[in-house]
Amino acid sequence: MYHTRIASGSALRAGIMARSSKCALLSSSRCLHAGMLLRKEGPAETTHFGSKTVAKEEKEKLVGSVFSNVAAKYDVMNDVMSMGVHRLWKDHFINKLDAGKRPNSKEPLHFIDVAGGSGDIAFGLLDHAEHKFHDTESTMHIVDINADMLKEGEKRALNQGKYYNDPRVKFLVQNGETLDQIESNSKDVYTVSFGIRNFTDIQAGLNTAYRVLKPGGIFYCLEFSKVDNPLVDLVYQQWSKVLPVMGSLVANDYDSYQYLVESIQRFPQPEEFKAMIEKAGFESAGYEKLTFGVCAIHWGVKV
Amino acid sequence: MLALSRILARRLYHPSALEHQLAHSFAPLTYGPGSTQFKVLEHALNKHVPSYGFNERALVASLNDLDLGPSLLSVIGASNSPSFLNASPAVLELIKFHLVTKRYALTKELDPARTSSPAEPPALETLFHRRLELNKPIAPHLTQLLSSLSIPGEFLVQTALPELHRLSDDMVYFSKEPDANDFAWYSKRIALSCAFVSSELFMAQDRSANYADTFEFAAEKLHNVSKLGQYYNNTEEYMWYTLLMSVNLAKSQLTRS
Repeated sequence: MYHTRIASGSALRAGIMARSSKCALLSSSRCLHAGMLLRKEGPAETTHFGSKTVAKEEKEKLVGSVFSNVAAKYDVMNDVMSMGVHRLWKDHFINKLDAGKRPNSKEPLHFIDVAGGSGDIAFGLLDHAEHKFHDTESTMHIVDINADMLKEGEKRALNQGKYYNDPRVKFLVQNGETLDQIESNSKDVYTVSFGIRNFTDIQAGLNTAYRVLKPGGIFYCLEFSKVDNPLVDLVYQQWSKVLPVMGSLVANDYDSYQYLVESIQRFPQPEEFKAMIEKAGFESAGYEKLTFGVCAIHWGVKV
Repeated sequence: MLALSRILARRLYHPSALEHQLAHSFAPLTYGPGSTQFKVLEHALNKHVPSYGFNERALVASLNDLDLGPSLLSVIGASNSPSFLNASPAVLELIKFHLVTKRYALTKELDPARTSSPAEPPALETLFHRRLELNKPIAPHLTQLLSSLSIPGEFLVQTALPELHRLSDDMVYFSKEPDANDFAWYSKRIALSCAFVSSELFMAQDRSANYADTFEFAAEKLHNVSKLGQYYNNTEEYMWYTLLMSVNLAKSQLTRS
């Protein structure tokens, strides 16, 4: 274990303890939990892991360890940390997207949910399409780089007796930055929720999203953002300090939740992220802030 | 509340002439006439809304006609949120599209930013009449449209009300109606908005040939607005007169003593 201090004023206090012993072959995953944002800094290939600077090869393993640690307690911790609000965000995300094959449309939809190991968004989207539009044809690829998180999703599908061994739903271990088993121009809807923050190279992830989408397809992303109200921000910052403590109480894991808080701080501002979406080639990009900007839904259209 | 005041302030803060001269195309829509969204919505509004009304069926029929997939519905609705009655965001966008494009159609010939030889400014009544004419194809579905517009929520605050006020503002600005630079600037626009909404409500129920009753009703409403304006001016004049007279009376009394 070792400690680093962060210099940046806005970032949370440091005290990150990277446990390299826990490194696994796992990386990003949809989750409110830890993550990192990679930025190339100078000639040495380094990047951010929370507020710590690490070598580029190392961070995928570090994030992997974080997600393996939290996979089992994923749901409980999300509820505790967001006080249940994450369910509202995800619900809003699904209702706003309002996707599904309409009774009089010709083609079914092909979804891909990236970093969607736990399956909540993917199952939510399919349920929405079925309940609202009687759509039982659209297909779903649930991909995650982390096999442990993906197993959680499969377990959930098995427990709810739906979408397990379903020809419409496929679980795939895939790196979101490359998606090498997904054909280009094959998907209608690309969703990623609380996952893109953990990509090693966010721009590469966006470029790949553009590649796999068909013309007319939509990129839809739910991610933490920046709180713009100073008063709410004050409360939010205090809350962020408590999160790792709660992580250690509920999931017996202080470090992973510390990474979470820091990766949120490191994520680009909404305008900056919007510019990245446009840089990948998407048009009509926009975003909507949720709960004073704690979260934001970003979107872009492939023309 | 803050959001509401900010939105209203954007338009109503001051009668800024510059605002009308910006070379924007179809703001607040986030896509231009060349985009897929625009093509689908325009097709739906012209071809299918008159028969199906403002609903997803019209949009899906257009998507099928244009050989496009249903993911476009999510694309179209992206900038809206579902209201608490769970109206489809794509349908809300269709409604927004109707309001915005009709408003632009009204002033296309008059706006120096969009035409090299702008026509002579018409009377306010003419513009008002012309805007109601544009509602004719969708008149059987006006009830549905107006109820969607008046559902309390984000759409009402962010789109329906600002769009109504922009319409009134455009009608005053692009007509030869004399404009005021005092508080009457606001009262005139509010009165015009009220007259327009009540005319639309009347049109929704109108079964007369070629909506003749609606236009009669609208003319009367507008007449009331101008009468109200006259009352306003007369009252203002009288108040000034009384104020100045009182000051002068006081002055003269003070000089005498």
